[in-house]
Amino acid sequence: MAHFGDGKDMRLKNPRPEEMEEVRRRVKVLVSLGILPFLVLLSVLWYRQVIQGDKYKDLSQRNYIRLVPLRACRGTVYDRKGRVLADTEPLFRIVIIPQELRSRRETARKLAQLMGMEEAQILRKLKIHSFNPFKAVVIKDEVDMETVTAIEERKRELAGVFIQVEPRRAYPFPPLAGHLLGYLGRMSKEEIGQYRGDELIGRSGIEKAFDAYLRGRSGGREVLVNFRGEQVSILGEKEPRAGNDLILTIDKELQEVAERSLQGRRGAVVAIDPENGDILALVSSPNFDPNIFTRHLSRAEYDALDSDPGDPLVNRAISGLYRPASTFKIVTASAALEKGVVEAATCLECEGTYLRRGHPFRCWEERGHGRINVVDALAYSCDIFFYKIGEVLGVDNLSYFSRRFGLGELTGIELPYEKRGLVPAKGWRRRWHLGEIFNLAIGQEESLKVTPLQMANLVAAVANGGTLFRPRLVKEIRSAEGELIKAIPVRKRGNLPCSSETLAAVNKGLWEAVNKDGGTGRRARLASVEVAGKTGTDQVVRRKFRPGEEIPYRLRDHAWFVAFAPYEKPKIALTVLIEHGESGGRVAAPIAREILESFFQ
Amino acid sequence: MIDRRLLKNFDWPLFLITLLIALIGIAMIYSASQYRGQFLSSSKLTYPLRQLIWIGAGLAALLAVIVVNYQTLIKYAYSLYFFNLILLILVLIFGRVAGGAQRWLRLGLFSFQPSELAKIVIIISLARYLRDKEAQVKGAKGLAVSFCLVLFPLILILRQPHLGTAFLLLPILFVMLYAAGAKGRHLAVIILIGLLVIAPLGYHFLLKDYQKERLSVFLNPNLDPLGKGYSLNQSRIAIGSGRFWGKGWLGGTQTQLHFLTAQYTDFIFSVVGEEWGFLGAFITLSLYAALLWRGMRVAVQAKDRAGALLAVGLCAMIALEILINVGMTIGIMPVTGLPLPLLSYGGSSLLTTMLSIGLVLNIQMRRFMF
Repeated sequence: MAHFGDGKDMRLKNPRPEEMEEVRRRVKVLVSLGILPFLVLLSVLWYRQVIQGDKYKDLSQRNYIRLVPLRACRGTVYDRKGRVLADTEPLFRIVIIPQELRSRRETARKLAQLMGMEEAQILRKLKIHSFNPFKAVVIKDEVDMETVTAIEERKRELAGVFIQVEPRRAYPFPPLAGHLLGYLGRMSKEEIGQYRGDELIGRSGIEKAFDAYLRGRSGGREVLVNFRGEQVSILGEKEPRAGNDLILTIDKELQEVAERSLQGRRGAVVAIDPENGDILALVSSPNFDPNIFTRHLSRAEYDALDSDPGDPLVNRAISGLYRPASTFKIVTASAALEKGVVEAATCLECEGTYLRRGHPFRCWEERGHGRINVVDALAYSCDIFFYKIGEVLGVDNLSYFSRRFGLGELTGIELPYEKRGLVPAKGWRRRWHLGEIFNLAIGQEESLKVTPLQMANLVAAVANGGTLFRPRLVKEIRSAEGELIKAIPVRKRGNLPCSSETLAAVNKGLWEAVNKDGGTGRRARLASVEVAGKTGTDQVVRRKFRPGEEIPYRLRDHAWFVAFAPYEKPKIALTVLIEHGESGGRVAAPIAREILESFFQ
Repeated sequence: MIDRRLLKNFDWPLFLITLLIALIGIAMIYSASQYRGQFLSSSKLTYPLRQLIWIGAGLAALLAVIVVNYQTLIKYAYSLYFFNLILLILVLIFGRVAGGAQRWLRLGLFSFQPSELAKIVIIISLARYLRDKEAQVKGAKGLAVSFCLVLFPLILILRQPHLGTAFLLLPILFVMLYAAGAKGRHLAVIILIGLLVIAPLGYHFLLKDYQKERLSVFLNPNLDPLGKGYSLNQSRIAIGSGRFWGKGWLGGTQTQLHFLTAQYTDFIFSVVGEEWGFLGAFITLSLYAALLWRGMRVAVQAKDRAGALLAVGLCAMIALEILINVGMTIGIMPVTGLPLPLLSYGGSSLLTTMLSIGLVLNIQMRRFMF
């Protein structure tokens, strides 16, 4: 074969067969090697398209389908006469979609001018949030109508700037009824899973208790978008359903008056309609503006509220626990009359000091009240009278009557965080010292704790002839269209274990306390209406202060006044509690008078 | 010059498969360029029509290259080689800059990429060299010279830079060396050294930042899903969401809502995968496989070493382009900017591929001519 290989031209025309054989063999090897990568491609395709196909289908849908939540309006809250206490207002929010911007700096400059912001501030927000250029960056929440109009007018120059509108909870008369209405807060992660779309949820008060009714149902819009996130078409829409409206038993005017009367003090007022247990006013002071919670409350602002020594977030009317002090004498008197310890006319001796087993027990009136019956004892709040009947009654009876009067138990008001208070039982102490029994009888016992609401409810029951109601705060629930969803009935909890004679005597005592000269509650007297009431002074420290000595605020006594009016046919039962108010008669009673006066005007 | 024996040996299946794939390309480009707003000024038919014109031009080139005996090309291989080197230098001096790279040379009305032509010219030159130096291929010198033949244009192409094309050349070289009879052992050692030493060095000194980014994003596309990894992720989603049957022509959401990038050029296969599903992808790949099989058949049946090596080189080029491009769209290859032969929109790539197939047909036609 060598003779073929000696010239280029020869090779061109006449390749040696074995030389081509080698090439062909190798080409065939290459062909078989080449099959492999194709098989790899096909298997990856099979894996992606057939095995993982559904996952990618889902991913592609998430690309082009956007769910735009449509927030439902929260239900409106009205007072008993249809006056708005909480409603919804449009919230305007300025956002920028970075992708749509023509010039970042230019737009930021113009926008800053219109909104009274710093250009740098806008640019910073854009920088922080624009990792996804299609996602709206919130530049400012809660923009007022004027700014919105100004921006709307210059829309053409402000490409990429958009105005979003959302319904937002608003309380038009802050801080009116702040504790009662409660506030909204952002949902936690778990809660978001429960309800879709809406990110605010009732955190306290009515907002929390009736959240399910108020919330409504968020709707949503399914939008087909392109790669820029621009809407191409709407695939489907579910209208949001507005929440239900609540009609409260609250009287807005009375609530206002009560709140004003507590201005600058710590305390609580509860007013109840004795005929049915409707709450007419429920006040805790200091108050707060519930609107701040629907805005962006900063950590510092929240901490300030939370650590305020006045505890503005605590609703004292339902969660504040105090000793009832002399207001408890209503219970002791009723128990004694009912148990036959005394009769209405029975007189006991008060000499200012009551010596028992060698210990002197004193009345607040050092000179003593002389011979005194139960009615006067209530009117003058004589301690020694109640020591004496208390000793006979014993802990068991006092405890039993307290419970039947609704103490130590939840009243069942439709508000979260209500406290049940404390009523001691005999078994709590191995041995009750006489002093402890005496203290219990006049409501100063350490283990006796009540809420202002419990006392108001108690007085209402005494006033209405013995029916203990479950307080009612919400009368009706209506749909946004006004259709009645649910009427909440008046609910009786039970009857006081007292005859009408007993209650008549007690009520007489309460009337005298206000209307008799020298009665402890005389400062609550009204010319137009006959008021009945009882004072109470919860001794914060057991210590005598010298006359004229300046007592530190935190050591001052709590002042109580419970009342009802008119005496003959009661329309309102009232509790006023002033923390560290020093004297029920001198501080709480005038406040009660103010509230009652306005109520009967 | 064309006699009947030539026509008798015309490989019709190869030609028709080529045409079929190109027509599938038209359908895909039509679908991929529907997105309005992207091309406000142009009608929906602009891109498919332009591609049709390119196919016509490609066919003309294919027929033209058939007329000339490939052995004439082999004869003038080195002249072509130097001419091409000059073009590659010219493009670095006068070339039009587009997308950060200087790849285009303007010739009157047309612009073209010398690097595309370079691929064919280098293959012709290698065929020529390897035909002549059959014995040397088994030794160091032959390997070194072949390597140098590739190296000069490769460096020039890297300078543009056109990474995809540049690195396409090395595997083509190895395939041709193997076919020409180089010792498998030698090739294996060279490839190993190349991977272990030159690749890391090249990574540091030759690659530009954006190229490095592409590589790191390829290794972990979730690094930056909205930025550099975006195209890869979206392409994968497009193909995967096509599932077995596909979403239907014009029905791919990834395509029609333009989540894909470069969807009528480099990522055209993502459109196939999304709208026609696994079935469409399988058929498309099968057509490519058939095309390559016909091409390799030409290599086997070629009457001389030059023809066989030329056919092998050209088939290797097309095969590699397919593997790299499809591999990229399904996320197993880095983004290199290589189009899919015959399917992607674009004249340069189409002309080059048609020209290559014309050469292969040329070899087949003349297998009995001495």
